Parts: sequence; C-alpha cells; structure tokens
Amino acid sequence: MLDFQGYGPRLLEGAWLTAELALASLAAALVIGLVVASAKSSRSLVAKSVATFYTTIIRGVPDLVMMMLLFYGGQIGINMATDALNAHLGTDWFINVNAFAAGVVTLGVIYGAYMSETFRGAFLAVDAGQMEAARAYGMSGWLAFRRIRFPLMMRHALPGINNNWLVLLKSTALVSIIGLSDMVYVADQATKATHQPFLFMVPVGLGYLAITAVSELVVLGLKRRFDTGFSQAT
Amino acid sequence: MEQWLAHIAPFLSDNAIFTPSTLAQYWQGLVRTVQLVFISLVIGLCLAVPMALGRASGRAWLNAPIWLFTYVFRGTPLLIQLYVAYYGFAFIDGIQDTRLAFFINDPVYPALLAFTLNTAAYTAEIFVGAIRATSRGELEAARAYGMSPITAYRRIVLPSAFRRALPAYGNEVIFMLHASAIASAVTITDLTGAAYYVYARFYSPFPAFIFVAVVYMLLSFALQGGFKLLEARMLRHLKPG
Amino acid sequence: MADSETPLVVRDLHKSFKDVSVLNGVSLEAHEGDVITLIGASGSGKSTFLRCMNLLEVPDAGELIVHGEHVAFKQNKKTREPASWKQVERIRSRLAMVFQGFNLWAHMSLIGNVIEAPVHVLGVPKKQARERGMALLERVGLADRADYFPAQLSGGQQQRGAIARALAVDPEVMLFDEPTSALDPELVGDVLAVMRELADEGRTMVVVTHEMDFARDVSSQVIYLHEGRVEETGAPAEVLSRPDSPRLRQFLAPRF
Repeated sequence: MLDFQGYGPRLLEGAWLTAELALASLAAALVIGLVVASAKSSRSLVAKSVATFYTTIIRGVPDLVMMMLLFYGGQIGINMATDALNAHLGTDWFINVNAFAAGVVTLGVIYGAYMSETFRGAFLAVDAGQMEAARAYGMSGWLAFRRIRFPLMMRHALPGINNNWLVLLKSTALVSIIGLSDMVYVADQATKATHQPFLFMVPVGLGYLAITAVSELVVLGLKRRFDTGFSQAT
Repeated sequence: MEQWLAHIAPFLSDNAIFTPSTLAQYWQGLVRTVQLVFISLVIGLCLAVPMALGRASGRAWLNAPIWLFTYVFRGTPLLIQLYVAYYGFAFIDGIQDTRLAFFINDPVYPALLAFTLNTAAYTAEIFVGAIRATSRGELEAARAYGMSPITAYRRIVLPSAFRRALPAYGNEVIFMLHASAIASAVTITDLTGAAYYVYARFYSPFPAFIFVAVVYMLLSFALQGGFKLLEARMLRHLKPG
Repeated sequence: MADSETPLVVRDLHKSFKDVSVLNGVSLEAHEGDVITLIGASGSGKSTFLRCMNLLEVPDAGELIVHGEHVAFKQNKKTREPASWKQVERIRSRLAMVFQGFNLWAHMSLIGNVIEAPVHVLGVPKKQARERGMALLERVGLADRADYFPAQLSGGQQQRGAIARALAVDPEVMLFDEPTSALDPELVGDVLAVMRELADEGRTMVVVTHEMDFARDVSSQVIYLHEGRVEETGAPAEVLSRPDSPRLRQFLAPRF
C-alpha cells in the first residue's frame, strides 16, 4: 500500500468534496443553462439581450478571474447590502460567504453560459411539429416542456452537456486557489509539507480520470434513454 | 511605456487604485501572460503535428502511447499538471547545483512546460479528428493520380485537415489564454496575478478583477476576430457559392 | 342558430400575417355529426382557418364558440391573444387535430402517443387509458404495432396512429389538416377508409383536403375558400357538381 504520510483521510475527504462540488455545480449550470436558453429563444428583446450579454461576458473571461471576482467580491457585495439593510432596520446582520456555496454559484454561473449554448442548439433541432401537436392536444406550457420538448431536446443536447461537464469537472480544481479544500488543495498542502509531489499529485490526477470514467458510463445509459424512438428505425 | 503613463497620469490623479504604479503592474502582467501563452502555443503546435500523424497512422505501437499521453493531459486539470511540473523538479535533492537550476528558480519554466504539453495534447486530438474526417474519396483520387502515400498526405490530406481544424484550434487558443490565469497560483505575476496583487493591496475586488476581466475579454475578442478572418480566407472553398 | 348543443361555431374570422391578410371574415357552423370539408387552392387560407379553430393561430377578429362556450380574447396594443390560456387548453383538449405531417411524438411508442393526452391532460387513469387506447389501435388496424415507435412505421400507419391519438381524447370535433397530402399514393386509401368510417358513425369533423372524391362522398357540407373568403358553400352535390363560381369551376376542372 502507498503511504500517504497521514494525508490519506484528508485526500479522501478532498475527493468527496470535489465530487460534491462538481455535481452541485452541474445541477446549477443545467438550471441556469435552461433558463438562459429559454430567454434567448423568447420573444422578449430585453430577455434576449440580457442573456446574450451574459454569455458573451462569460466566454471572454477566464474561470479563475470570474471565480475571484465572485468570491472576493461576493463577500464585500453582501456586506455592503447587509450594511445598508442594517442601517435601515437597525439590525446587526452579517452573512458569511460560504466557500462551497461560492464555488457552486461561480461554476454554475460560468458553465450555465456554456450549457445555454448547448440547449439553444438542441431546442432548435427539435421538429416544430412535435410541440405543435402538444399544444393542439391542450398541453400547458410546463406539461409540454416536461413531456415533449425536454426529452426530445435532450437527445441533441447530451453530447454538448457531456463536454461541458468534463470541462467543469476539471475546473473544480480552481477552487483550491481560493482556499476550498478539494483534493487538489489537499495534495498541494501535502506536497508542501512532505516534499513528495508525485505521491500526492498522481493519485489526485487518477481521481479525476476515475470520475470521468464513471461519468462515461452514466452518459452511455442516458444516451440509450434519450435515443428511444430514434435508433430503432427499421 | 513610461511616457505614455506620464500622459495619462493626470487623468488618474483622483483615483486611488489605478495609479501609474498599479497600471504598470497590470502592463507587466499582460506581457507575462502573452509571453506564456504565445510560447506554449507555438511549441505545443510543433509537438502536436507529429503526434497527430502518429495517432492517425494506424500503427498501434505509435498510436497507443500518444493516445495515453493525450488522454491523461486532457483528462486531468491543468492545475495538477502545473503543480507536478512546479514541485516535481523543485524537490529533487541537489538540483540547485546542476545546470537545471534555472528551471526551478523561475516558476515561468515549469509553467511553460505544463502549458506546452497540455495544449499539445488538445491540439493533437483536434488534428487527429480533422485528419480522420478527410474524405476517403479525396485520398483515393490522390492515389489514383499516382501520388505516393507520403505525397498524398503532404499535398492533400494535411492541408485540408489543417483548414478544417482551424475553428476548433481557435477555441483552443482562447481556452489556453483563459487557462493561463492559473500561472498566478505558482507565484507568477501574470495578468491575474497582477489583479490579485491590486485586490490584496487595496482590498477592493471589483475594480481589480473587473479591469482585468475586461482586458482578458478584449484579448479574447481580438483572437476570435483574428481566427474569423483567417477562417474566411482559408475556408472559402467550403462556403456555398 | 348556435346554441349550447352546437359543437363548433366560428363567426367572421379575420387573420393576417404581417401585412398579408389571409382570412377576411369566414364563418362555419358544425352541428353534431356534420362532416365539413374545406377546399381551395393553396394560399386560399383553408389551413389557417382550421388552425384558428383550435387557436394554433390566434385570429385577429371573430368569434369562436365551442359547445356554447365563447373563447375570450384580450386586445393588446397590436395583437390579440386569448384572455385565458387555461380556457384555450381546455378547449383544445375537446377538439382533436390530425396534422399533415402526422406529428406523432417521436420519443414515445404508438400506444404512448395515444394515451399521452388522456393521461396527462385529461387525467384518465393510465390503465383505463391504455385499454381504451388498445381498442382504438385495433380500430385503425394497428393493434400489433402498439409498441413500435413512429420512426418504425410507414407514413400511412403513422397517420392512422395519429387518428387513434385524436380519438383517444374523445373529441367533440375532429380537425383534419390535409391528412393525406404527405402520403405516398398507395397509402392514401387506408387513411381515407378510416376517416369514412368515422364519418359514418356520426363523428363531427372538419377536414381540409384535396381529395375531391372524399369531399363528394362523405361530407355534409363543402366550403370553397378563395383569398380568405367563402366563395361558395353548400351540399357537395350542389357545390361540386354544379358550381356557380367560375373560379370554383376552374378549380374543379380536370387537370392534365
């Protein structure tokens, strides 16, 4: 067995945090992506412009800069907001920005922009007649989305979502720079203490490859699910 | 540079943060970032071409190790690769006394190593995809006109593959520019490092990071525009009519 | 006169797209068991008229009354829209549409398509919907294809499946939008045969079609539209055999 010089449990905790952070950010990114994609294909000019502005900014700025801005700026922004509230209400509130939440929000906001592009393309790929039939049978907007548009769209969106997910997963490493103890952070600390970089960095690298391998299996299953009705054509 | 700063300094006199000294800091950061990205892209590109050819050659003994290389470098975070390059050599006993000492005394070298290998891996895969997408018909036509396999590759397959790879490579260049921000994590004062320095000095994140975000954005859009122009020139033959 | 017993009444419908006016005041009254066919050249507005009936297009002016219930509209600055989409959804679930391009939901099996609206819009228990759905597939001759997906079926089979899907909501009026236009000639007969049966058993239907034999043999009323107006209407024997309008005469003339 490898001797992690007492860092074994912390590495495992870090790996768990990486997985949690990645999955929570994925969920946030999917929700933001869907909302923004809907805004982009809406008839409202305001919604369209805001959505386009948002994705343009995100695509032009490095993840890490965005993360620092939201993380360091977020605390100050919230402080200013609570200070203003306190002055008005005579209260004494203080909200401490939770590093994990900040990481999820940041990654969600960044990858939400990329997801929205994926979803927009996928929405356009769905035959208009499918939604027309849904409306013609009296389905409400939400029901038609849930039963018809979403499952049909997912078939086109899945490859793009998978791509974004793999990039997002690797981006979680950046949270170690702003002080969240994911597995890269633990490995960095351990390396500095023990002067054995390979002992810690290589297993962490393998950890990412392992998460990727598991997710490939999940994607394969989802692909089968959303290909229903298309791949079996005679 | 100094003269330029002297000119705009009066306009900034009311401003506590964007003083000539912090602007100079940002400027040096910008130079560092551009150096890092440019050098890694150039060397990475040179490495990527033979790797792509090896991957597309169909010889397993050539394909397999290159595949493993690109798989590992694309499957793990660049930050890990940077740490391995940065710490991996620094902690070798007695390295200070060898001729490799320069490598560990300036973190720019390990950063260049990690960035170069990383972009080489991504670029190689982009090219492999483009080479494989070259239509069999084009290759067969080349063979039918008596070209040797090497000539056919050099004259037909590669030019067409490189053109087709251009949009994806443009994305990779911008990706690399953004990814280079992590150089600040190993004490390199690149653009992001400069922004962090300004933030820490004045404890005001918004001006510090928004300014640098705008700089990155302008760089990205300039690159994007450049690649659009290049594509328009090189991919004319793919446009209808 | 329209009363609460009349399944569908449309009065003085107007509709334009951008600056092109497509419907210039058309009306229609479908009584229980009526089969009304809408004929006319392409661009005459017949499909738009049909699509206005279940509000896939919102008419600019005019009235729509389904079984005595008036559809309420509200006027915005430039456009008119239904006052309550809830009401529209309720009315749509009582009128079933069969499309030219079938529009069966591609990710659902045939039986899944048939039970979708009953289960999720009308709230019929799944088991019950399934039993009834199987009976309907039996009727259109597709019981053995229940678990197939649309892409695995021929155009004619898909359209018969779409008719079963329409029947499953037990509609008061069935709307057919050129149901055979997208089919290969040899598959048209099967679909028309199913539609004839439905007419014979007293279903109320409004059919946009180019099939003149169907219009002549099956319908109780023919409406000939020209440039968004009713140019001529009446019993098929009258309208199709002794047309008054020279334009209709030209439209009906055999083409070589």
